[in-house]
Amino acid sequence: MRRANRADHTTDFLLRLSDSFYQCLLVIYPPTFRRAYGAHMAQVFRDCCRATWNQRGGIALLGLWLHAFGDLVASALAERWQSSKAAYRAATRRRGIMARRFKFKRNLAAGGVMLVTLLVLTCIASFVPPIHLALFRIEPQVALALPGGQYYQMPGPGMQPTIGGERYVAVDGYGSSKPQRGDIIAFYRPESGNLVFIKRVIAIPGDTIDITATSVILNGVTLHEPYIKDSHGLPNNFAARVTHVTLAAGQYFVMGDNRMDSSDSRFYGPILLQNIIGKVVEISSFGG
Amino acid sequence: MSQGDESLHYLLPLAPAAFAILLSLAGGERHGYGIMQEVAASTKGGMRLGPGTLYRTIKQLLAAGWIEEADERTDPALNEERRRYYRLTALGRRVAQAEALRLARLVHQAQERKLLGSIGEVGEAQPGLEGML
Repeated sequence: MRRANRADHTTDFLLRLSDSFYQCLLVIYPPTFRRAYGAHMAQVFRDCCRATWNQRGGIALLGLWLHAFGDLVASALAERWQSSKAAYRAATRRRGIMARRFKFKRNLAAGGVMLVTLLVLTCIASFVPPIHLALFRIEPQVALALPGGQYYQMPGPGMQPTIGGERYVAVDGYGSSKPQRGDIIAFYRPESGNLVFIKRVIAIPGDTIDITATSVILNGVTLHEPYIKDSHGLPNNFAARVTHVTLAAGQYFVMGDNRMDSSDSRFYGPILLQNIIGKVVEISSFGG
Repeated sequence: MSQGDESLHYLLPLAPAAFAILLSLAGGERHGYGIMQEVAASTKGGMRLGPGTLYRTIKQLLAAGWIEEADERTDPALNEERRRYYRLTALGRRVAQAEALRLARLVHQAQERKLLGSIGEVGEAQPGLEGML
């Protein structure tokens, strides 16, 4: 009787040990699976152990354990693989949706900002012609007629320091009046195509002009020219000589204020009234 | 064979463990250990489901809607522990029927090609195949 009791205790102990060990091994399953089915699995294994022990003895329990262990490892690996795949898919999908939402919002914001910027710039440009020119024109010297006058960019250094490089000038047509000495004018030169030049009128029809290395003599009088660029003591007109030229009707003698670096009537002779666009009435503060 | 069965063909063939569990539940509600016993008995020990494979497959069948959880109760044949019971759904029954039909067709072909005797002789001639039917 005592021996039978001892055998029962041993059986119980071994079965409990087996059960505990199996429950410990369940840790290799993914937590969600373990929470849902771990207790059921342990219960089934306990039933199997009890049945095997009762029907076939302790040695058969070892066989059951071998089978259960293989089954446990294989199914746990499969379950882990499946759950990590599902988690990866969910994360990718979530990231994808968020990325798409973010991208959409960002594009929407960028589009809105661009639209508003474009509107603001258009408004500014319609009030500030130099910006209009800067925005919409590539060739600065091609005339663009705008209400209230015409605007040109001064690309070269020929009129420095009066007109800095890259500045814009507003030009008004002369109408019935005529260019006067000292006027800064815009004009074409047919031989230069559509290019517009901006120079100062030095002599008008009927005037006689002489240009020496250091001075301009107009109708026998040496001109006082405070507007020309200081050339640091060098002769202003070292490259050009004009000797006693009298201008015919419609002829105007023009020169840039930057005498050392200006291509003007000293080189190509007087210009014609018909090629004069108008008088520079304003020098924009925009630009260089 | 119904049209409904044909529409389930994309689900076939079933994994052996899944079909075995569906077959065992076709006879009525069972708990996990009951399914395991039934599978082992019906295959004459040819298929032994471990607890891991059993519950992994149960999880998949539940997710597919082929089986559902019944209540949790004790099994008088075992002990006082409460056990979760499972039963076949209508869809699960149709899927099991479709798989059985597929296998029956294969067996029929095997018979036509003289690989098997009549169905009645299968158990004697090829004991290993019995579990498939």
